[in-house]
Amino acid sequence: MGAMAQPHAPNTDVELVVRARGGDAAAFEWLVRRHFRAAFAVALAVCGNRMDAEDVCQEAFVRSLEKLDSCRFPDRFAAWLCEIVRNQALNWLEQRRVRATEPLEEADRTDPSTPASGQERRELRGLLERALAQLSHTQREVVLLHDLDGRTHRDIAAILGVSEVMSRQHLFMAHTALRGILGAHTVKE
Amino acid sequence: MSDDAIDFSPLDPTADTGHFESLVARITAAARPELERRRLQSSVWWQMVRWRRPMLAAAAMIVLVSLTMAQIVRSPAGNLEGTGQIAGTLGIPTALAGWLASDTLPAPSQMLFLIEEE
Repeated sequence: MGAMAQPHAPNTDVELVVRARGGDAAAFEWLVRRHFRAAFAVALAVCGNRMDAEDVCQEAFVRSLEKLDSCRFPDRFAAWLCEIVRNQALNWLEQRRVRATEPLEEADRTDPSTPASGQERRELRGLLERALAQLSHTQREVVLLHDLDGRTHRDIAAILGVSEVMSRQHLFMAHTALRGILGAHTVKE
Repeated sequence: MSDDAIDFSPLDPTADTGHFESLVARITAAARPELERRRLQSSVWWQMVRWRRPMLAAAAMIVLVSLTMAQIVRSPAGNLEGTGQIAGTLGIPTALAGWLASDTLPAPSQMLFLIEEE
């Protein structure tokens, strides 16, 4: 679930959080690797584009490290982190609204690491981002956590503070809306 | 309810390994000062600095108790008791024990008077 395939993966978030509290860089890096996709899903649901979501994630991870002592339940680190990411993303959105005299052109915010041959992929990203923008904020979070990060409804419910039933309903509505916008070609085989 | 997932792989930040590694490197670099601060905080020296105030308070309390005890021991009643004890233990006259306890030299006439008394 969201964890990157790496050798010698440590066991639990609890262990990693305890070690990171003591300044263990490797433990913190593991937390980043393990939960980046979930954090990204939450940030993307708010920011609406990939590049800004990545920036927000970076700030949120550093902020989470600064506040790590206030993580009372390290076994629920993902939910705690996602709350920080959401707040960070909302702050970012507010700041952007304040300096909205010159709106950002999405076309200018293309990922520089993407080669020219990735044109089709960039277009797909744009399509997905525009389709996601049609959903409610909660629907975006649910569908991204479920489809992008592979989280279960139980995890999503814990992260969003809703019931599992509500999580399923949000996902169903998000899928219905997205299929209407995107067509069948974006459905996973 | 349909469970057909939407393919969000074009948005997946971990799909491009190189890009993801650079993201992780950026985050860990930004977190380095905080990690360093935390490492320092968990060191023995920092713990000692952290416990400075309680340790000073405990030391002050010990000094206070010691001074109070010393005051009690040096009180006239304490001296009298001490003189009697010294005399009893060493088997010497009380007057001689008094001189020992008070750390003062008796005059030769006092010594002679004491010997004559014995």
